[in-house]
Amino acid sequence: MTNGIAVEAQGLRKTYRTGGKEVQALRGVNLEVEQGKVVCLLGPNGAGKTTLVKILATLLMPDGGWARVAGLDVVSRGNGVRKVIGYAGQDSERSAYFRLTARENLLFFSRTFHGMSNQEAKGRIEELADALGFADKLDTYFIALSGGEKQMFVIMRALISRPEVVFMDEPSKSLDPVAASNVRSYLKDYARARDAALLVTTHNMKEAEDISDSVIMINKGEVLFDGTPEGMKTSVMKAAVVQIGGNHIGEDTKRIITAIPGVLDFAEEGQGIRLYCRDAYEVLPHVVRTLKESGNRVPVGVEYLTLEEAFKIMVGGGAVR
Amino acid sequence: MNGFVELTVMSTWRRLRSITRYKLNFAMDLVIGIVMAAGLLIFQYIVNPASLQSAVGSANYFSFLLIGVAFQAYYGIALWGSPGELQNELTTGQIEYTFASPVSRYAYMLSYVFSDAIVATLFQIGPMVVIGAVFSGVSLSLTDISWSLTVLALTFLAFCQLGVLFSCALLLFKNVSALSTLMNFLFQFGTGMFVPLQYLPGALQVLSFVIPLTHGIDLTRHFLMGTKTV
Repeated sequence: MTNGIAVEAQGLRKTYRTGGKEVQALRGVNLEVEQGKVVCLLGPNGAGKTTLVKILATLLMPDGGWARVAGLDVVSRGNGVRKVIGYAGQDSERSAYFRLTARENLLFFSRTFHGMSNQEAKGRIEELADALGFADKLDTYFIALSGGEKQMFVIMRALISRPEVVFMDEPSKSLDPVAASNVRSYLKDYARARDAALLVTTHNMKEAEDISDSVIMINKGEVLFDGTPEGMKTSVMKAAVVQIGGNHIGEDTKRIITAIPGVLDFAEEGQGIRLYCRDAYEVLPHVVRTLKESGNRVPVGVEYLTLEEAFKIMVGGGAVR
Repeated sequence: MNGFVELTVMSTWRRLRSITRYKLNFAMDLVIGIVMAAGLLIFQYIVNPASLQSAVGSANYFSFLLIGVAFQAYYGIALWGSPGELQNELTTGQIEYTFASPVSRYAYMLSYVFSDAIVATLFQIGPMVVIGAVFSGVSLSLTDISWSLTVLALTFLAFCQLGVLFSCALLLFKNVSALSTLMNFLFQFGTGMFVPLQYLPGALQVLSFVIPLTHGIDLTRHFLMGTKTV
Protein backbone atom coordinates (compact mmCIF):
# COMPACT_ATOMS: atom_id res chain seq x y z
CA MET A 1 0.00 0.00 0.00
CA THR A 2 1.16 3.54 -0.61
CA ASN A 3 0.89 6.04 2.25
CA GLY A 4 -2.01 4.15 3.81
CA ILE A 5 -4.09 4.54 0.65
CA ALA A 6 -5.58 1.19 -0.32
CA VAL A 7 -7.59 2.30 -3.34
CA GLU A 8 -7.05 5.34 -5.50
CA ALA A 9 -8.38 6.42 -8.86
CA GLN A 10 -7.88 9.46 -11.03
CA GLY A 11 -9.98 10.49 -14.00
CA LEU A 12 -11.58 7.08 -14.49
CA ARG A 13 -13.73 6.94 -17.58
CA LYS A 14 -15.86 4.20 -19.02
CA THR A 15 -18.27 4.28 -21.94
CA TYR A 16 -20.57 1.43 -22.95
CA ARG A 17 -21.55 1.08 -26.56
CA THR A 18 -24.72 -0.91 -27.14
CA GLY A 19 -27.16 -0.84 -30.03
CA GLY A 20 -25.38 2.08 -31.69
CA LYS A 21 -25.73 4.17 -28.53
CA GLU A 22 -23.01 5.40 -26.23
CA VAL A 23 -23.59 5.57 -22.52
CA GLN A 24 -20.96 7.28 -20.41
CA ALA A 25 -20.95 5.28 -17.20
CA LEU A 26 -17.98 7.06 -15.63
CA ARG A 27 -16.90 10.60 -16.53
CA GLY A 28 -13.60 11.17 -14.80
CA VAL A 29 -14.02 9.69 -11.34
CA ASN A 30 -11.41 10.42 -8.64
CA LEU A 31 -11.41 8.63 -5.31
CA GLU A 32 -9.27 7.47 -2.41
CA VAL A 33 -9.98 4.81 0.18
CA GLU A 34 -7.65 4.59 3.16
CA GLN A 35 -6.57 1.39 4.85
CA GLY A 36 -8.74 0.42 7.80
CA LYS A 37 -11.68 2.46 6.51
CA VAL A 38 -15.11 1.55 5.25
CA VAL A 39 -16.33 3.72 2.40
CA CYS A 40 -19.87 3.55 1.06
CA LEU A 41 -20.49 4.30 -2.56
CA LEU A 42 -23.91 5.90 -2.92
CA GLY A 43 -25.89 6.83 -5.98
CA PRO A 44 -29.15 6.16 -7.81
CA ASN A 45 -29.62 3.21 -10.17
CA GLY A 46 -27.38 3.57 -13.21
CA ALA A 47 -25.12 6.11 -11.49
CA GLY A 48 -21.97 4.12 -12.33
CA LYS A 49 -21.31 2.51 -8.93
CA THR A 50 -21.15 -1.07 -10.18
CA THR A 51 -19.01 -0.06 -13.16
CA LEU A 52 -16.57 1.66 -10.80
CA VAL A 53 -16.39 -1.37 -8.49
CA LYS A 54 -15.91 -3.72 -11.44
CA ILE A 55 -13.02 -1.65 -12.78
CA LEU A 56 -11.37 -1.65 -9.35
CA ALA A 57 -11.89 -5.41 -9.09
CA THR A 58 -10.23 -5.84 -12.53
CA LEU A 59 -13.45 -7.13 -14.11
CA LEU A 60 -13.71 -4.23 -16.54
CA MET A 61 -11.10 -2.15 -18.34
CA PRO A 62 -11.39 1.63 -18.03
CA ASP A 63 -11.40 3.73 -21.20
CA GLY A 64 -9.37 6.46 -19.53
CA GLY A 65 -7.75 7.46 -16.27
CA TRP A 66 -6.06 5.06 -13.88
CA ALA A 67 -6.75 3.17 -10.69
CA ARG A 68 -4.53 1.43 -8.16
CA VAL A 69 -5.49 -1.12 -5.56
CA ALA A 70 -2.90 -1.82 -2.85
CA GLY A 71 -0.52 0.26 -4.93
CA LEU A 72 -1.00 -1.94 -8.01
CA ASP A 73 -2.38 -0.66 -11.28
CA VAL A 74 -5.66 -2.44 -12.03
CA VAL A 75 -4.85 -2.76 -15.74
CA SER A 76 -1.14 -3.63 -15.88
CA ARG A 77 -0.98 -5.50 -12.53
CA GLY A 78 -4.42 -7.12 -12.59
CA ASN A 79 -3.28 -10.46 -11.24
CA GLY A 80 -1.49 -8.79 -8.34
CA VAL A 81 -4.67 -6.88 -7.54
CA ARG A 82 -6.75 -10.06 -7.62
CA LYS A 83 -4.44 -11.61 -5.00
CA VAL A 84 -5.31 -8.99 -2.40
CA ILE A 85 -8.99 -8.34 -3.00
CA GLY A 86 -12.24 -9.93 -1.96
CA TYR A 87 -15.25 -9.42 -4.18
CA ALA A 88 -18.97 -9.84 -3.67
CA GLY A 89 -21.03 -8.95 -6.71
CA GLN A 90 -24.76 -8.46 -7.03
CA ASP A 91 -25.58 -11.93 -8.35
CA SER A 92 -25.94 -13.97 -5.20
CA GLU A 93 -28.95 -16.10 -6.06
CA ARG A 94 -27.21 -18.47 -8.45
CA SER A 95 -23.53 -17.74 -8.21
CA ALA A 96 -22.38 -21.00 -6.63
CA TYR A 97 -22.76 -24.72 -7.20
CA PHE A 98 -26.34 -25.74 -6.42
CA ARG A 99 -25.62 -29.38 -5.69
CA LEU A 100 -22.91 -28.66 -3.14
CA THR A 101 -23.53 -27.50 0.41
CA ALA A 102 -22.49 -24.03 1.50
CA ARG A 103 -19.49 -25.56 3.29
CA GLU A 104 -18.46 -27.59 0.23
CA ASN A 105 -18.80 -24.53 -1.99
CA LEU A 106 -16.67 -22.42 0.34
CA LEU A 107 -14.10 -25.19 0.57
CA PHE A 108 -13.98 -25.41 -3.22
CA PHE A 109 -13.61 -21.65 -3.73
CA SER A 110 -11.03 -21.18 -0.98
CA ARG A 111 -8.83 -24.05 -2.14
CA THR A 112 -9.26 -23.58 -5.88
CA PHE A 113 -9.19 -19.82 -6.19
CA HIS A 114 -7.08 -18.83 -3.20
CA GLY A 115 -4.74 -21.80 -2.83
CA MET A 116 -5.66 -22.37 0.81
CA SER A 117 -4.86 -25.72 2.40
CA ASN A 118 -7.73 -28.00 3.36
CA GLN A 119 -7.16 -27.41 7.07
CA GLU A 120 -6.79 -23.66 6.72
CA ALA A 121 -9.92 -23.40 4.58
CA LYS A 122 -12.01 -25.49 6.97
CA GLY A 123 -10.90 -23.39 9.93
CA ARG A 124 -11.63 -20.14 8.14
CA ILE A 125 -15.09 -21.34 7.09
CA GLU A 126 -15.98 -22.19 10.70
CA GLU A 127 -14.59 -18.89 11.94
CA LEU A 128 -16.58 -16.84 9.44
CA ALA A 129 -19.77 -18.83 9.91
CA ASP A 130 -19.60 -18.41 13.69
CA ALA A 131 -18.98 -14.69 13.41
CA LEU A 132 -21.83 -14.13 10.96
CA GLY A 133 -24.36 -16.49 12.53
CA PHE A 134 -24.26 -18.89 9.58
CA ALA A 135 -22.94 -22.02 11.33
CA ASP A 136 -26.25 -23.89 11.22
CA LYS A 137 -26.57 -23.33 7.46
CA LEU A 138 -23.13 -24.55 6.42
CA ASP A 139 -24.32 -28.05 5.61
CA THR A 140 -27.37 -26.94 3.64
CA TYR A 141 -27.25 -27.36 -0.13
CA PHE A 142 -26.77 -24.01 -1.84
CA ILE A 143 -29.98 -24.49 -3.79
CA ALA A 144 -31.94 -24.86 -0.55
CA LEU A 145 -30.68 -21.62 1.02
CA SER A 146 -33.03 -18.63 1.16
CA GLY A 147 -32.20 -15.44 -0.76
CA GLY A 148 -30.77 -13.81 2.35
CA GLU A 149 -28.74 -16.89 3.22
CA LYS A 150 -27.30 -16.99 -0.29
CA GLN A 151 -26.34 -13.35 0.11
CA MET A 152 -24.65 -14.18 3.41
CA PHE A 153 -22.78 -16.98 1.62
CA VAL A 154 -21.54 -14.52 -1.01
CA ILE A 155 -20.30 -12.18 1.72
CA MET A 156 -18.47 -15.05 3.43
CA ARG A 157 -16.93 -16.10 0.14
CA ALA A 158 -15.61 -12.57 -0.43
CA LEU A 159 -13.92 -12.63 2.98
CA ILE A 160 -12.65 -16.20 2.96
CA SER A 161 -9.09 -15.31 1.92
CA ARG A 162 -8.77 -12.48 4.48
CA PRO A 163 -8.37 -9.86 1.73
CA GLU A 164 -6.65 -6.52 2.25
CA VAL A 165 -9.21 -4.75 0.11
CA VAL A 166 -12.86 -5.74 -0.16
CA PHE A 167 -15.35 -4.67 -2.80
CA MET A 168 -19.00 -5.40 -2.09
CA ASP A 169 -21.90 -4.50 -4.31
CA GLU A 170 -25.00 -4.07 -2.15
CA PRO A 171 -24.00 -6.62 0.51
CA SER A 172 -27.07 -6.22 2.72
CA LYS A 173 -29.49 -6.84 -0.14
CA SER A 174 -32.03 -9.54 0.87
CA LEU A 175 -30.70 -9.74 4.45
CA ASP A 176 -33.11 -9.52 7.38
CA PRO A 177 -32.45 -6.66 9.84
CA VAL A 178 -30.62 -8.88 12.36
CA ALA A 179 -28.40 -10.48 9.72
CA ALA A 180 -27.76 -7.09 8.10
CA SER A 181 -26.75 -5.67 11.45
CA ASN A 182 -24.42 -8.64 12.07
CA VAL A 183 -22.80 -8.16 8.69
CA ARG A 184 -22.34 -4.42 9.18
CA SER A 185 -20.80 -4.95 12.57
CA TYR A 186 -18.50 -7.70 11.27
CA LEU A 187 -17.36 -5.65 8.26
CA LYS A 188 -16.57 -2.66 10.43
CA ASP A 189 -14.58 -4.79 12.87
CA TYR A 190 -12.85 -6.57 10.00
CA ALA A 191 -11.66 -3.28 8.51
CA ARG A 192 -10.29 -2.12 11.89
CA ALA A 193 -8.73 -5.42 12.93
CA ARG A 194 -6.99 -6.17 9.65
CA ASP A 195 -6.37 -2.60 8.56
CA ALA A 196 -8.34 -3.51 5.46
CA ALA A 197 -10.16 -1.15 3.14
CA LEU A 198 -13.78 -1.82 2.27
CA LEU A 199 -15.62 -0.16 -0.60
CA VAL A 200 -19.31 -0.96 -0.36
CA THR A 201 -22.10 0.14 -2.67
CA THR A 202 -25.51 0.50 -1.10
CA HIS A 203 -28.95 2.02 -1.52
CA ASN A 204 -29.57 1.64 2.19
CA MET A 205 -28.86 5.02 3.78
CA LYS A 206 -29.08 3.63 7.28
CA GLU A 207 -26.41 1.13 6.37
CA ALA A 208 -24.25 3.89 4.95
CA GLU A 209 -24.60 5.90 8.19
CA ASP A 210 -23.94 2.86 10.39
CA ILE A 211 -20.99 1.37 8.62
CA SER A 212 -19.07 4.02 6.76
CA ASP A 213 -16.19 6.22 7.76
CA SER A 214 -16.89 8.18 4.63
CA VAL A 215 -19.28 8.19 1.70
CA ILE A 216 -18.81 8.88 -1.97
CA MET A 217 -21.89 10.10 -3.76
CA ILE A 218 -21.89 9.39 -7.47
CA ASN A 219 -24.46 10.30 -10.10
CA LYS A 220 -24.37 10.08 -13.88
CA GLY A 221 -20.78 8.91 -13.72
CA GLU A 222 -19.50 11.85 -11.68
CA VAL A 223 -18.58 12.17 -8.02
CA LEU A 224 -20.91 14.70 -6.39
CA PHE A 225 -19.60 14.34 -2.87
CA ASP A 226 -16.70 12.66 -1.07
CA GLY A 227 -16.54 12.98 2.71
CA THR A 228 -18.21 11.90 5.94
CA PRO A 229 -21.93 11.08 6.15
CA GLU A 230 -22.40 14.14 8.38
CA GLY A 231 -20.54 16.22 5.85
CA MET A 232 -22.84 14.99 3.11
CA LYS A 233 -25.91 16.08 5.09
CA THR A 234 -24.56 19.57 5.54
CA SER A 235 -23.13 19.88 2.05
CA VAL A 236 -26.44 20.56 0.38
CA MET A 237 -27.98 24.04 0.32
CA LYS A 238 -31.11 22.80 2.06
CA ALA A 239 -29.16 21.30 4.93
CA ALA A 240 -31.42 22.44 7.76
CA VAL A 241 -34.97 21.35 8.48
CA VAL A 242 -37.77 22.98 10.41
CA GLN A 243 -40.17 20.21 11.32
CA ILE A 244 -43.78 21.22 11.98
CA GLY A 245 -45.84 18.48 13.60
CA GLY A 246 -49.58 17.84 13.32
CA ASN A 247 -51.64 17.32 10.22
CA HIS A 248 -54.42 19.84 10.71
CA ILE A 249 -52.72 23.02 9.59
CA GLY A 250 -54.96 24.95 7.19
CA GLU A 251 -54.07 25.40 3.55
CA ASP A 252 -53.78 29.21 3.93
CA THR A 253 -51.34 28.84 6.83
CA LYS A 254 -49.38 26.24 4.90
CA ARG A 255 -49.12 28.64 1.95
CA ILE A 256 -47.83 31.46 4.17
CA ILE A 257 -45.31 29.22 5.94
CA THR A 258 -43.84 27.72 2.80
CA ALA A 259 -43.43 31.21 1.33
CA ILE A 260 -41.39 32.51 4.28
CA PRO A 261 -38.08 33.96 3.00
CA GLY A 262 -35.30 31.42 3.55
CA VAL A 263 -37.50 28.37 2.95
CA LEU A 264 -35.95 26.69 -0.07
CA ASP A 265 -38.23 23.70 -0.33
CA PHE A 266 -40.77 21.73 1.67
CA ALA A 267 -42.21 18.25 1.93
CA GLU A 268 -45.58 17.29 3.37
CA GLU A 269 -45.50 14.17 5.45
CA GLY A 270 -48.16 12.21 7.29
CA GLN A 271 -47.30 13.93 10.55
CA GLY A 272 -46.67 17.44 9.31
CA ILE A 273 -44.47 19.56 7.10
CA ARG A 274 -40.68 19.63 6.72
CA LEU A 275 -39.28 22.97 5.62
CA TYR A 276 -35.85 22.79 4.00
CA CYS A 277 -33.72 25.87 4.40
CA ARG A 278 -30.14 27.01 4.63
CA ASP A 279 -30.49 28.49 8.14
CA ALA A 280 -33.26 26.96 10.27
CA TYR A 281 -32.87 29.52 13.10
CA GLU A 282 -33.54 32.36 10.71
CA VAL A 283 -36.77 30.78 9.53
CA LEU A 284 -37.99 29.37 12.85
CA PRO A 285 -39.28 32.66 14.46
CA HIS A 286 -41.36 33.43 11.37
CA VAL A 287 -42.85 29.94 11.43
CA VAL A 288 -43.71 30.16 15.12
CA ARG A 289 -45.31 33.59 14.68
CA THR A 290 -47.39 32.43 11.71
CA LEU A 291 -48.57 29.33 13.53
CA LYS A 292 -49.45 31.36 16.62
CA GLU A 293 -51.38 33.95 14.61
CA SER A 294 -53.35 31.23 12.84
CA GLY A 295 -54.12 29.44 16.08
CA ASN A 296 -52.12 26.32 15.26
CA ARG A 297 -50.44 25.21 18.51
CA VAL A 298 -48.42 22.32 17.07
CA PRO A 299 -44.90 21.02 17.87
CA VAL A 300 -42.15 22.81 15.99
CA GLY A 301 -38.46 21.92 15.98
CA VAL A 302 -35.17 22.11 14.17
CA GLU A 303 -33.62 18.92 12.81
CA TYR A 304 -30.71 17.86 10.73
CA LEU A 305 -31.29 16.52 7.28
CA THR A 306 -31.26 12.73 7.11
CA LEU A 307 -28.72 11.10 4.79
CA GLU A 308 -31.61 9.90 2.65
CA GLU A 309 -32.88 13.48 2.25
CA ALA A 310 -29.40 14.69 1.37
CA PHE A 311 -29.17 11.85 -1.16
CA LYS A 312 -32.50 12.78 -2.76
CA ILE A 313 -31.60 16.45 -2.92
CA MET A 314 -28.28 15.67 -4.57
CA VAL A 315 -29.78 13.24 -7.05
CA GLY A 316 -32.54 15.72 -7.83
CA GLY A 317 -29.92 18.28 -8.80
CA GLY A 318 -30.05 20.12 -5.45
CA ALA A 319 -27.27 22.63 -5.15
CA VAL A 320 -24.25 21.72 -3.10
CA ARG A 321 -22.82 24.39 -0.78
CA MET B 1 1.90 -26.67 -12.49
CA ASN B 2 1.00 -27.32 -8.84
CA GLY B 3 -1.78 -24.79 -9.17
CA PHE B 4 -3.14 -26.56 -12.21
CA VAL B 5 -3.04 -29.97 -10.53
CA GLU B 6 -4.79 -28.56 -7.45
CA LEU B 7 -7.40 -26.93 -9.68
CA THR B 8 -8.03 -30.18 -11.51
CA VAL B 9 -8.21 -32.20 -8.30
CA MET B 10 -10.69 -29.76 -6.75
CA SER B 11 -12.78 -29.57 -9.92
CA THR B 12 -12.91 -33.36 -10.04
CA TRP B 13 -13.87 -33.47 -6.35
CA ARG B 14 -16.66 -30.96 -6.99
CA ARG B 15 -17.98 -32.96 -9.93
CA LEU B 16 -17.93 -36.21 -7.99
CA ARG B 17 -19.78 -34.58 -5.08
CA SER B 18 -22.37 -33.21 -7.51
CA ILE B 19 -22.97 -36.29 -9.63
CA THR B 20 -23.16 -38.69 -6.70
CA ARG B 21 -25.61 -36.43 -4.88
CA TYR B 22 -28.57 -37.90 -6.74
CA LYS B 23 -27.89 -41.60 -6.39
CA LEU B 24 -30.55 -42.93 -8.74
CA ASN B 25 -29.52 -40.60 -11.56
CA PHE B 26 -25.88 -41.52 -11.00
CA ALA B 27 -26.67 -45.23 -11.18
CA MET B 28 -28.67 -44.71 -14.37
CA ASP B 29 -25.81 -42.76 -15.93
CA LEU B 30 -23.52 -45.72 -15.30
CA VAL B 31 -25.99 -48.21 -16.74
CA ILE B 32 -26.68 -46.03 -19.79
CA GLY B 33 -22.98 -46.07 -20.76
CA ILE B 34 -23.02 -49.84 -20.76
CA VAL B 35 -26.37 -50.08 -22.57
CA MET B 36 -25.11 -47.66 -25.23
CA ALA B 37 -22.06 -49.83 -25.85
CA ALA B 38 -24.25 -52.90 -26.30
CA GLY B 39 -26.67 -50.84 -28.42
CA LEU B 40 -23.94 -50.04 -30.91
CA LEU B 41 -23.88 -53.73 -31.82
CA ILE B 42 -27.08 -53.16 -33.81
CA PHE B 43 -25.17 -51.03 -36.29
CA GLN B 44 -22.88 -53.93 -37.06
CA TYR B 45 -25.73 -55.43 -39.09
CA ILE B 46 -26.62 -52.39 -41.22
CA VAL B 47 -23.22 -52.09 -42.87
CA ASN B 48 -22.04 -54.32 -45.67
CA PRO B 49 -18.95 -56.09 -44.18
CA ALA B 50 -17.33 -56.65 -47.56
CA SER B 51 -17.67 -53.00 -48.51
CA LEU B 52 -16.25 -51.88 -45.13
CA GLN B 53 -13.40 -54.37 -45.41
CA SER B 54 -12.51 -53.04 -48.82
CA ALA B 55 -12.72 -49.38 -47.73
CA VAL B 56 -10.97 -49.38 -44.36
CA GLY B 57 -9.36 -52.78 -44.08
CA SER B 58 -11.66 -54.15 -41.37
CA ALA B 59 -15.22 -55.45 -41.39
CA ASN B 60 -15.76 -54.72 -37.67
CA TYR B 61 -18.15 -51.75 -37.82
CA PHE B 62 -19.00 -52.09 -34.14
CA SER B 63 -15.39 -51.35 -33.10
CA PHE B 64 -15.14 -48.70 -35.80
CA LEU B 65 -18.19 -46.98 -34.31
CA LEU B 66 -17.13 -47.45 -30.70
CA ILE B 67 -13.87 -45.61 -31.32
CA GLY B 68 -15.81 -42.87 -33.11
CA VAL B 69 -18.19 -42.52 -30.15
CA ALA B 70 -15.30 -42.36 -27.67
CA PHE B 71 -13.61 -39.64 -29.74
CA GLN B 72 -16.90 -37.79 -30.04
CA ALA B 73 -17.20 -37.76 -26.25
CA TYR B 74 -13.62 -36.62 -25.65
CA TYR B 75 -13.50 -33.97 -28.35
CA GLY B 76 -16.85 -32.70 -27.07
CA ILE B 77 -15.38 -32.30 -23.59
CA ALA B 78 -12.14 -30.76 -24.85
CA LEU B 79 -13.85 -28.36 -27.20
CA TRP B 80 -17.03 -27.41 -25.38
CA GLY B 81 -16.34 -28.20 -21.72
CA SER B 82 -14.70 -24.87 -21.04
CA PRO B 83 -17.03 -22.62 -23.09
CA GLY B 84 -19.98 -24.51 -21.62
CA GLU B 85 -18.81 -23.84 -18.07
CA LEU B 86 -18.12 -20.18 -18.80
CA GLN B 87 -21.53 -19.83 -20.44
CA ASN B 88 -23.07 -21.24 -17.27
CA GLU B 89 -21.02 -18.89 -15.11
CA LEU B 90 -22.04 -15.95 -17.29
CA THR B 91 -25.68 -16.89 -16.81
CA THR B 92 -25.44 -17.37 -13.07
CA GLY B 93 -23.13 -14.44 -12.44
CA GLN B 94 -20.45 -16.63 -10.86
CA ILE B 95 -17.98 -15.54 -13.50
CA GLU B 96 -17.45 -12.24 -11.70
CA TYR B 97 -16.16 -14.03 -8.62
CA THR B 98 -14.08 -16.41 -10.73
CA PHE B 99 -12.44 -13.62 -12.70
CA ALA B 100 -11.91 -11.43 -9.63
CA SER B 101 -9.86 -14.24 -8.07
CA PRO B 102 -6.12 -14.70 -8.67
CA VAL B 103 -6.49 -18.09 -10.36
CA SER B 104 -5.05 -18.30 -13.88
CA ARG B 105 -7.97 -18.14 -16.28
CA TYR B 106 -6.20 -20.44 -18.72
CA ALA B 107 -5.47 -23.01 -16.00
CA TYR B 108 -9.03 -22.70 -14.75
CA MET B 109 -10.47 -23.42 -18.20
CA LEU B 110 -8.17 -26.40 -18.71
CA SER B 111 -8.79 -27.80 -15.24
CA TYR B 112 -12.48 -27.79 -15.94
CA VAL B 113 -11.94 -29.80 -19.12
CA PHE B 114 -9.53 -32.24 -17.49
CA SER B 115 -11.79 -32.89 -14.52
CA ASP B 116 -14.72 -33.42 -16.89
CA ALA B 117 -12.64 -35.94 -18.87
CA ILE B 118 -11.57 -37.77 -15.69
CA VAL B 119 -15.13 -38.12 -14.41
CA ALA B 120 -16.49 -39.07 -17.84
CA THR B 121 -13.74 -41.68 -18.24
CA LEU B 122 -14.52 -43.19 -14.86
CA PHE B 123 -18.27 -43.34 -15.14
CA GLN B 124 -19.35 -43.08 -18.78
CA ILE B 125 -16.82 -43.41 -21.57
CA GLY B 126 -14.56 -45.85 -19.71
CA PRO B 127 -17.23 -48.44 -18.88
CA MET B 128 -18.70 -48.05 -22.36
CA VAL B 129 -15.37 -48.68 -24.09
CA VAL B 130 -14.42 -51.58 -21.82
CA ILE B 131 -17.77 -53.31 -22.30
CA GLY B 132 -17.59 -52.55 -26.00
CA ALA B 133 -14.08 -54.00 -26.27
CA VAL B 134 -15.35 -57.24 -24.72
CA PHE B 135 -18.10 -57.51 -27.33
CA SER B 136 -15.89 -56.45 -30.23
CA GLY B 137 -13.84 -59.61 -30.38
CA VAL B 138 -10.71 -57.61 -31.17
CA SER B 139 -7.56 -58.83 -29.47
CA LEU B 140 -5.48 -55.94 -28.14
CA SER B 141 -1.83 -55.81 -27.21
CA LEU B 142 -0.40 -53.46 -24.57
CA THR B 143 1.56 -51.69 -27.30
CA ASP B 144 -1.58 -51.09 -29.38
CA ILE B 145 -3.38 -49.71 -26.33
CA SER B 146 -0.43 -47.46 -25.40
CA TRP B 147 -0.20 -46.01 -28.91
CA SER B 148 -3.95 -45.46 -29.02
CA LEU B 149 -3.95 -43.68 -25.67
CA THR B 150 -1.07 -41.49 -26.85
CA VAL B 151 -3.00 -40.54 -29.99
CA LEU B 152 -6.13 -39.90 -27.94
CA ALA B 153 -4.19 -37.73 -25.47
CA LEU B 154 -2.58 -35.67 -28.25
CA THR B 155 -5.92 -35.16 -29.99
CA PHE B 156 -7.52 -34.22 -26.68
CA LEU B 157 -4.77 -31.70 -25.88
CA ALA B 158 -5.04 -30.15 -29.35
CA PHE B 159 -8.78 -29.73 -28.94
CA CYS B 160 -8.32 -28.30 -25.43
CA GLN B 161 -6.46 -25.37 -26.97
CA LEU B 162 -9.20 -24.93 -29.54
CA GLY B 163 -11.65 -25.03 -26.63
CA VAL B 164 -9.77 -22.19 -24.93
CA LEU B 165 -10.07 -20.18 -28.15
CA PHE B 166 -13.82 -20.85 -28.23
CA SER B 167 -14.00 -19.79 -24.59
CA CYS B 168 -12.39 -16.50 -25.52
CA ALA B 169 -14.89 -16.15 -28.36
CA LEU B 170 -17.67 -16.81 -25.86
CA LEU B 171 -16.41 -14.11 -23.51
CA LEU B 172 -16.27 -11.71 -26.44
CA PHE B 173 -19.57 -12.56 -28.11
CA LYS B 174 -21.49 -13.95 -25.08
CA ASN B 175 -22.99 -16.81 -27.08
CA VAL B 176 -21.35 -19.16 -29.56
CA SER B 177 -24.00 -21.85 -29.79
CA ALA B 178 -24.30 -21.47 -33.59
CA LEU B 179 -20.56 -22.03 -33.93
CA SER B 180 -20.86 -25.06 -31.69
CA THR B 181 -23.61 -26.56 -33.87
CA LEU B 182 -21.59 -25.95 -37.04
CA MET B 183 -18.42 -27.46 -35.58
CA ASN B 184 -20.21 -30.50 -34.21
CA PHE B 185 -21.76 -31.15 -37.61
CA LEU B 186 -18.40 -30.76 -39.31
CA PHE B 187 -16.58 -33.01 -36.85
CA GLN B 188 -19.21 -35.71 -36.75
CA PHE B 189 -19.56 -36.07 -40.49
CA GLY B 190 -16.25 -34.79 -41.85
CA THR B 191 -13.76 -36.75 -39.77
CA GLY B 192 -14.77 -40.31 -40.37
CA MET B 193 -16.15 -40.49 -36.86
CA PHE B 194 -19.15 -42.62 -37.82
CA VAL B 195 -18.89 -42.97 -41.59
CA PRO B 196 -15.62 -44.13 -43.21
CA LEU B 197 -13.88 -41.23 -44.95
CA GLN B 198 -13.48 -43.46 -47.99
CA TYR B 199 -17.28 -43.27 -48.47
CA LEU B 200 -17.28 -39.46 -48.60
CA PRO B 201 -17.13 -37.42 -51.86
CA GLY B 202 -13.61 -36.35 -52.88
CA ALA B 203 -14.01 -32.68 -51.92
CA LEU B 204 -15.18 -33.62 -48.42
CA GLN B 205 -12.27 -35.99 -48.05
CA VAL B 206 -9.87 -33.11 -48.75
CA LEU B 207 -11.62 -31.03 -46.07
CA SER B 208 -11.46 -33.89 -43.62
CA PHE B 209 -7.67 -34.17 -43.99
CA VAL B 210 -7.15 -30.68 -42.54
CA ILE B 211 -9.12 -31.48 -39.38
CA PRO B 212 -6.77 -32.90 -36.70
CA LEU B 213 -9.53 -35.08 -35.30
CA THR B 214 -9.59 -37.10 -38.53
CA HIS B 215 -6.03 -38.28 -38.01
CA GLY B 216 -6.56 -38.97 -34.31
CA ILE B 217 -9.51 -41.23 -34.99
CA ASP B 218 -7.81 -42.83 -37.97
CA LEU B 219 -4.61 -43.65 -36.10
CA THR B 220 -6.49 -45.03 -33.11
CA ARG B 221 -8.46 -47.35 -35.39
CA HIS B 222 -5.24 -48.34 -37.07
CA PHE B 223 -3.61 -49.31 -33.75
CA LEU B 224 -6.65 -51.01 -32.27
CA MET B 225 -8.32 -52.57 -35.30
CA GLY B 226 -5.52 -52.79 -37.84
CA THR B 227 -7.35 -50.58 -40.34
CA LYS B 228 -5.63 -48.89 -43.26
CA THR B 229 -4.70 -45.26 -42.54
CA VAL B 230 -6.22 -42.48 -44.64
